Amino acid sequence: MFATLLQQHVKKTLRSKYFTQGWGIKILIGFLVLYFGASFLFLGIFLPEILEDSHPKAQSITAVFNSYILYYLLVDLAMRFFLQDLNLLSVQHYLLQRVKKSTVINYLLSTSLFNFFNLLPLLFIVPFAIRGVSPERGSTEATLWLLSMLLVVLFSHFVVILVKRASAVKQWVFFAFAGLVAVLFTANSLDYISLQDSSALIFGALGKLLPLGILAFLVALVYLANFKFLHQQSYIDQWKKQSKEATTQDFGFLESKGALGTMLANELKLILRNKRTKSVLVMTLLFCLYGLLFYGGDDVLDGVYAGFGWKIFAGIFMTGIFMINYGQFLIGWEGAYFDGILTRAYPIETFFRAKFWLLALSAVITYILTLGYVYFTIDALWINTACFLYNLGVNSFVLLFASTYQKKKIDLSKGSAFNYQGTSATQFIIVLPLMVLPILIFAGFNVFGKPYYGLAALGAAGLLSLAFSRYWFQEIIKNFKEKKYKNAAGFREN
Amino acid sequence: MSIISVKNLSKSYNGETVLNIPQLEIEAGKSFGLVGNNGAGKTTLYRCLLDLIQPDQGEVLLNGVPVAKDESWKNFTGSFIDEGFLIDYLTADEYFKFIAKLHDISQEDLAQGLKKYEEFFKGEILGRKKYIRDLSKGNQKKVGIVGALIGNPSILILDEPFANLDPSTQFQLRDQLKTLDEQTDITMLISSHDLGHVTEFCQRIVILDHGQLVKDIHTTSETLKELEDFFVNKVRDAAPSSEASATVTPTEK
Repeated sequence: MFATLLQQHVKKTLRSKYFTQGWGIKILIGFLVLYFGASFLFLGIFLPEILEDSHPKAQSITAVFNSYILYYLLVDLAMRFFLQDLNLLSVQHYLLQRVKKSTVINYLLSTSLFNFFNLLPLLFIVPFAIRGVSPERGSTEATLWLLSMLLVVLFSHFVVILVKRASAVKQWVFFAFAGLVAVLFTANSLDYISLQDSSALIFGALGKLLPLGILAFLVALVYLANFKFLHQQSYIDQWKKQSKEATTQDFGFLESKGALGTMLANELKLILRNKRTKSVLVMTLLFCLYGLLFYGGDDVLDGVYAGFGWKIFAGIFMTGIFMINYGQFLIGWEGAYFDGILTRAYPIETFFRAKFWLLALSAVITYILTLGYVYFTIDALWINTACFLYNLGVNSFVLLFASTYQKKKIDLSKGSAFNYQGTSATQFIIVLPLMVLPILIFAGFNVFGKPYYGLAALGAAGLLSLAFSRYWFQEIIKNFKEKKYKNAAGFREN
Repeated sequence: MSIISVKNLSKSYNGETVLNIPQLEIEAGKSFGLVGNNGAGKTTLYRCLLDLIQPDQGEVLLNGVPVAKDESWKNFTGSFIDEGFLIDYLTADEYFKFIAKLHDISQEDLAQGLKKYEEFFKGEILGRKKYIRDLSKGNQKKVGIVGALIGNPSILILDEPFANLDPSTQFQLRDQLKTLDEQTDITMLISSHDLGHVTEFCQRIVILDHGQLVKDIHTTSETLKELEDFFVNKVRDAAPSSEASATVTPTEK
């Protein structure tokens, strides 16, 4: 029985939507997987040398490694908590079949192991066991050490599943868990406790039989706890979150401003009420801090002339982060009801003008937020202002124009991490005018030692383009009308 | 002896009672129809019958088996609720094979059994290189209904089997179910919004309203009229207040 279910899992994976995507996405994902995989593999292979270099006084690099396991475990738990999930709904179809509930739960738990987060640690634990532990302690102990580390990974995997499921039912579980991790790290950085010493104490004996036994016992315990919990929670109304009372925001002011205001208000509702668009908002706030890397702590003069090109990149990115992130799927967000858009009683120009206002307003907000970098250097003001004008005048229209080529629907209820739904070649091509062109404009002046002329040119380009906005709208709408039948057909597909 | 027995069943969400059935006994071999407006509690009752949700109170016995405690009811119960219960990344053939395997039915017997439905499938389902997720809604429904019949269940539970089917297929399905009812001693539990279809072959029809059984009818030639009167009167009784609210709602929202 279990074997049949496993067979179906393989089928499911091979037939998943990932493999029916276009070649561009396949290559991108393949590249990312290879890149991360290779990085971890190299890290694992050269870890003995790295540890010897950084801890010249240490007598045993295995001991050094062991003293960091607790760190690894805590970071791993936090990462998994946000990125790993158990999809209970994926087994709903077995519930009415002649399959035991316990088999379904065992299947669900064991197939959850086939996941990126369990593969990555393998890539550096295995080489380290061979090149680091084995020469120091012999192959038997290295084998035991490797097995123990695998159990640590399994432990982390199942603990996160349990905590996540439990916190879906009782919210305090999440806060208790997050609080514990935060307290441990804070206490560590204030020197009240030493994670390194604790880790050395707890994992120091890794490679002996006793700790292996203890770990195996712990993993079995967590697995059983998961099993029991899922068995209690195996009713479908407990899986789906009870729909909360809809929160309604009041955009009365906008809605009183005619069709354009109403559409803008609708779009704000779309952003605030869906998971994937909300995560774009969160990313926007996070990336506003991106400038710290570029402006913070840098020698100002050196910064001005050496890395200015990069600062244009950062400037465009920061002042346009929401614009670019949200704008790349400008119409895709509304793909589920694209036919409705085409048949509703408003001119399509209003539709695009509302989109433009949304992008423009977001650019103003991110511009104001990132003005804080003036604290580090006054250059931040000039760079951000120039980039803001370019975003407002050029990039907004580039995104509007590119949106007329979108024909892939986006599922708004999914998170945006590792989510490539809706991505097509368009998203890669528009990077050229969006990012590369402003850097080139600037570099044209910068190579002659006139960076401020470059910034002025960038801002002027934005303003000039803005002056032509009527013409841009005409062209965008012309293109939209030409492509709309093809796009509508694309949106109707799944 | 009753093959389906519901005792003292109640379920509420956020303090709102959505289902409250003191007792319901369904005799073996009879086909049973369940009608009611949207939100009357039909789906909740079905989910309780199939142990998909936990009732606040009471229990359900299928053939004497308490569904919440013992899983063996799955051996003799075929059911189809909605497309969410299909394994959508399989082809229809693979799906049928899988269910047959669960019931220890050989491939030959399965092929033999599926032959009966060739006309029903119109050649759009078997032997096609298409995953279930890529079939039309109507065809998905056919797959689900036929899948529920594999393993010769003694109880068949279908939720809205006629919805989403084209008129010809609706009549075809009705005839299939009718023959099944006449030729075997299967107990069928069918919910539908189509009063005509249920009166056609259900010997007993129950109306569910606000989570309660409000009418229990043994089908006669008068039944259709009686059902229609019930639902028409429901609208008429509510008319004065609903008319008033209909004019207010748009401005409120």
